[in-house]
Amino acid sequence: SPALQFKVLAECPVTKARTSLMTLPHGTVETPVFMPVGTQGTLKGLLPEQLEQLGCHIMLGNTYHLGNRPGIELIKEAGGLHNFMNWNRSLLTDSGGFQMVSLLELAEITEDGVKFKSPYDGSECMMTPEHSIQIQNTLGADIIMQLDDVVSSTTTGPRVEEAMHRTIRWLDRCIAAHQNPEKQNLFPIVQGGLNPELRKACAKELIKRDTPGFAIGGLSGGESKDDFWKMVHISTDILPNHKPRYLMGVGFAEDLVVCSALGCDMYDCVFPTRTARFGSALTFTGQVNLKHQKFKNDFTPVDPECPCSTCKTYTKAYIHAIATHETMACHLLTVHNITFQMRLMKRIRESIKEATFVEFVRNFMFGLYPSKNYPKWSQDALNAVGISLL
Amino acid sequence: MRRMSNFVLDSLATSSSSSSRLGRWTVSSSGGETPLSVPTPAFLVHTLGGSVPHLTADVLLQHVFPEQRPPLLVSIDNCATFVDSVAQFGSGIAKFAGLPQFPVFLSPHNPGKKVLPSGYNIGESVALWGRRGKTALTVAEHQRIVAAFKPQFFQTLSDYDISSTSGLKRMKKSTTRTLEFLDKTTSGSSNGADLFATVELGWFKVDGEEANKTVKAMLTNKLDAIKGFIISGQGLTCAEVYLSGSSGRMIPEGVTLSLSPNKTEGQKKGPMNNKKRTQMDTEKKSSLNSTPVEDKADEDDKSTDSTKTSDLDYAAISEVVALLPAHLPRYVPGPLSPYEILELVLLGVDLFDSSWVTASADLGHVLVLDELTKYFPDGHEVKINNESLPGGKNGDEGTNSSNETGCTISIKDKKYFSDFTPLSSSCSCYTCRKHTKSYLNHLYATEELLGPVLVMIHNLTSFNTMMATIRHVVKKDAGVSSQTESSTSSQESLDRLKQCLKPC
Ligand SMILES: [Zn+2]
Ligand SMILES: [Zn+2]
Repeated sequence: SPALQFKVLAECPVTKARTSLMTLPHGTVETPVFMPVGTQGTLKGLLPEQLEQLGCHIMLGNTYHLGNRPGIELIKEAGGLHNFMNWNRSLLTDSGGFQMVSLLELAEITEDGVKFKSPYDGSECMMTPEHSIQIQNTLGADIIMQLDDVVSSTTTGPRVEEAMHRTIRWLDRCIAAHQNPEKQNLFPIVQGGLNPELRKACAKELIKRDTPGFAIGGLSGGESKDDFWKMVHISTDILPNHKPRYLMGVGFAEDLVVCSALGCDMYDCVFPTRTARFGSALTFTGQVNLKHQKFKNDFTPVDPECPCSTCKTYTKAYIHAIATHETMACHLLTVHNITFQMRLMKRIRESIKEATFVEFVRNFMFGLYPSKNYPKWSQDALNAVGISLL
Repeated sequence: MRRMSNFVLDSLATSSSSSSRLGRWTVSSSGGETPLSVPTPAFLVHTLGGSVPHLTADVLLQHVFPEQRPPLLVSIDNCATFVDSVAQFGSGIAKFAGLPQFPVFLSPHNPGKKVLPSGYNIGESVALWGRRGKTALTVAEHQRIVAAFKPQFFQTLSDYDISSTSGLKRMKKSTTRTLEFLDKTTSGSSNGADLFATVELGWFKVDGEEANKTVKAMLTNKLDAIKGFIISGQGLTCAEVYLSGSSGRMIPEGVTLSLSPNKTEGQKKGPMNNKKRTQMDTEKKSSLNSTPVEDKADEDDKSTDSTKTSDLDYAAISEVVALLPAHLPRYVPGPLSPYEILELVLLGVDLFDSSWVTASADLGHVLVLDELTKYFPDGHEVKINNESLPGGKNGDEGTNSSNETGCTISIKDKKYFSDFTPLSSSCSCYTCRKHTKSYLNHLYATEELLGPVLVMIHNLTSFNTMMATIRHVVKKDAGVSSQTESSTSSQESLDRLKQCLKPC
């Protein structure tokens, strides 16, 4: 694709992990990459400049939210989302379908598209695949997503199969509607619920279309971890090696490490920023809730090895002191948590380059579970790609 | 004992129309680096919980104060829950809050807060209203906090429960208590910090003669110990919309900018009693509460009307200033608008704080000094050529926008929805260089945290510009600047500045 170059730099000799350079119209992104979610055209109080300094090269915007406010006409007038929010690095927008189905009670999926009642005037509206692409063309993100038929990951039965087939039909409508293939990359989404055969069928059908990359969707929505990793594993087995694989909605540290071993390249999740708002800091030894009384007089940084401005300047005791009431605490933890995600992904990439990924995974898991009580699912998943933890 | 600060007056105004003065406040920082020199009139940087609201230390240092280190105004009420942590930390509040480069001025009450409830200053303590309700602050506890927070300056306790409608008996109680507090404070350890004595404006509204006597008693007995004055008090200010609730920033949405002198009065009885109960319940938990607090003071002790807010009483402030010795700085706390600050500078007030900026960021009010910077570029030079102004080609445009210039705009206004110009065409702050009104309008519409962050950066920068311009005009007013500098008279400059800062 003219708008996306994907160059694999190194592959793990044991697992399916690889590290690559993904070159997009707004710059090159090193993968595996975590993409912070800037829902409304901003990342939770961080200046775009701060995000750049934290090493973030690509972030998300949510089509549904931006379409509501400020609305697509305004962003068009501003010259696209990059201009509007003054972020000059890469962007990815979702299709808007997922938000619609999960946020609007009355959303209903028909062959045409997602039918919903306007939250503003109650009028009946329809979001079609064409409409979604048109909006995303206007937003102008480097990567845009097809409208897919999203079903809850715990749904079973014929509805799952219907959704899978409809997703493929909608992909073709999205491809046909896409106006800027030379500047924007349209990613299809592998669906199929928790059914291995449907997942395989879907992935095989999608790869017949020559899209610049692929996403794995419909996961991370309450299904068992056992099902989760198997669906990822099945999908990455089929998706081509020379194109990026985006695992949607995943952002826990352990999941990022395991799924990178399974061959995924891109992730997004609101978790690091959301958990910051609840007073929680991410570290290589797990989550730390700074609201806890034990930090009242802890005058050490959240993570002494973290290079972020929060850890260099502030103590746990101070964040604890203001954790429940000042937005400052949220800012401080957002900076730290995004830094943590960036550091984690960098460690993954460098260990793959240095061919020490397997060792990295073992050390990482041991850091999280010092008594080696590893969850069964991550043991199984890692075993499936040749890493034994015990 | 360390000498923390030194205030030197550069000049007193010589014009007959104003009592304004220029000074230089030399302050040693918390970090013990070389002393900082703060030109006055100046503002202290308002903080909540020790931080400048919405701005992390790196953003503050990078984008607001890359060079200056103005003193931070830290208030005990919004730090009350972690006094013990600061004490154990051992290096003071500035370092604890990640801002060791800045000196600290410690006051008991957040100046951005709504008028404090009446009837709770009892015995040897004053009531402090924090997040967990009321705590009783005695001089001993206050000194413990000063020792822990290690400020360069601190405000003495005073019985603030006094307003124009208080009786003489209540007023005498207030003055007696306040003098006692000052007495006790000066006889204890100052912990190396400079003391600012509190003068309640309310005294002057009840009985001028008694008030005079009280201030003179301070001067006679304690002048050596006093390094500055705070003119504070209930009913001092202000557009109500800029006064926030007890958390420091709970401003109801949709409040319009207007003076509402009697608004709070009617609501006083009911909700206040409920609130009191919760406060009584929670106060046991507070580490601050070193004296048992009975119930409310007796009826006689109660001011009936201290929740009233009113216009700034320039006459009363002027009366107080006249009593104070010229060589000491005078600070009027509170969310004063730029125009009110200018008026007070002309009355001889030296220090203010940025609680107005804190409130304005929450409200989405943006200080636009385009008009001001047109006449006073960089806050230094005055270049007025009668009617033809710099940028004269755009004269028409200038008058079109003039109904908004020189004061504040509300970025939430839907007219900015598709305005892709910066907040201010003359400002070069990070926000104005990087973002548009339209984007800020969107951030406020979606209640995104970045909105107040960007407005804080701009408004603090603009506040700084405004103070520099005020100093420039005062300098001119005082006849300090060279005659050749510009052709305008000092009175013209002053009128121009007033015009620029006038509220819409
Ligand atoms: Zn950190
Ligand atoms: Zn600005």
